[in-house]
Amino acid sequence: MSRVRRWVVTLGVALAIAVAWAVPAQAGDLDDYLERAADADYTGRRVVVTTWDGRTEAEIVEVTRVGGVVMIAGPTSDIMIGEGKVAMDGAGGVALAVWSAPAAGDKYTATEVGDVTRLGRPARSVTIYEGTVVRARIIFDVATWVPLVTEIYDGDGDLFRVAAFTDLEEVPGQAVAAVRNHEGDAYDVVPRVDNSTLPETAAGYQRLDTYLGADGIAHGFYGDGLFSFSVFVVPAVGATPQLDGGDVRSLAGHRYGVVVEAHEVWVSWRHGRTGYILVGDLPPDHLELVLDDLPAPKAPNLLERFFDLFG
Amino acid sequence: MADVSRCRATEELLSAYLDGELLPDELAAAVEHLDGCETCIVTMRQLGEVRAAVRLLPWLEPPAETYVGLHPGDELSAYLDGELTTAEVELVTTHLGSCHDCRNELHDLDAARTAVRALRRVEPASSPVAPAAAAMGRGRHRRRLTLATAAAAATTAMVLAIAMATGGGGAPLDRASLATRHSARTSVEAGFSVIPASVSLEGVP
Repeated sequence: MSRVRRWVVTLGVALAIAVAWAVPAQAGDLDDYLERAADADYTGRRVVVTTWDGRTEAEIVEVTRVGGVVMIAGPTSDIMIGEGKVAMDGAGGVALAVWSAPAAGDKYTATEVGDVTRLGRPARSVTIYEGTVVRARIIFDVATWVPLVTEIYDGDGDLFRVAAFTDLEEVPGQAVAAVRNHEGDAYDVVPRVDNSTLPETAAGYQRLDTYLGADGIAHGFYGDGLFSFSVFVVPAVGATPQLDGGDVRSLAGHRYGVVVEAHEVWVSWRHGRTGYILVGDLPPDHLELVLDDLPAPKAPNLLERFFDLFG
Repeated sequence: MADVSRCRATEELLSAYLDGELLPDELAAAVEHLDGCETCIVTMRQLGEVRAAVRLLPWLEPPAETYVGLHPGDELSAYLDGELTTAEVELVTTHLGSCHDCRNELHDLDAARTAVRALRRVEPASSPVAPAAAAMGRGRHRRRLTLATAAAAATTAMVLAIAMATGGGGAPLDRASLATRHSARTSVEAGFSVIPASVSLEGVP
């Protein structure tokens, strides 16, 4: 080997090592990150901004999360969410009797992009892919694995939602006590049922559980390991369920009542005598695919209208 | 001077406005804007004229070889009323050519409308009950009773027809209750740890 050729080979190897060192990309399972993030305890202020169809909705919330239980400070009271329960300040709430294991996360892959700094804290940037499409970018705090910034993208690459902490502290002891103070609240327990008229899967989302409320409204819950949504089935509804402040929008080739909020989207429609309400954090392209797999809007026929009036 | 953003928003609602399909809030906003915006009034008139022209179009036979994947849903009603644009009529017609479910739905809708129209046409003077009673040669008192019965039946039919045509008002929705159930279930899902944005604040005072 000539001296020049030896230099070229050495330079090539050195360059390859340098590139590999500079870009520590590492493909992993989304579940790994979810498990690490599940132990994160923190308190802070988070801004959530959602943009859809040129409209932007934003909300700022004070969040404390301890042991998987989240407390969110409202204007005059607090709401506590976790372990299948939701409780309002001293007023009790709703508790699910039982639930299935979380949806498997093999739909998404996670790739570490590199180390960054956020809020003055060492952080790690991770990109979540759905196939070859970038579905989310998350910046995790290295010390606690709190997701400091979460960006969700629509299928065409548009930024759909950003949730970002503007300040963050690891949780102090008194916050634990505050959360646990809700343990004595009275809950309305919602039972799980086996039968459902809802499809078992919708656009890759798996129906994990179905519940039946005391008001006769069935509740199907779907997840895909990252996003989730609920479909509520209202029997003999009499008219399309109305959403306050909703628009009528064309989705998946049909017209739906839609409300876009910072945290989630609400969709309502009627299929014959049955009313449907969907609520979830789905990106717009996922939402359209899901709606395509659910009963489509359908005007009631003569007999159904008759029952609406006299049934 | 017209507010361009409001004009654009109202323009998107005009079609539904003409169909009487706006939600109460949307209707109030559209009416308020139309009251003071000459541009939008002109646009609405033009849209109305186009729709009137569409009603005169002949029935189009569906080209069987073309498949259109989108179900027209509520547009079938507008289709029957001749309230769609020419392009929409073509799309719906094409779809009907290949979609058995939508043809059945259209058939049901048409049958319902025919029945409702028949109910609306019932009038006391031309009621089949009245001539039948007269033909039987009953007394004056009986004829009065029959006419009264016919009038009552016609009134009932009218009310029934209007109620069935309009489908009643929108059902109020307790979103706070649904949001609570959704959040309770979301709280045990894996993504909740990473993106607690899915926590609903609906119902928090």
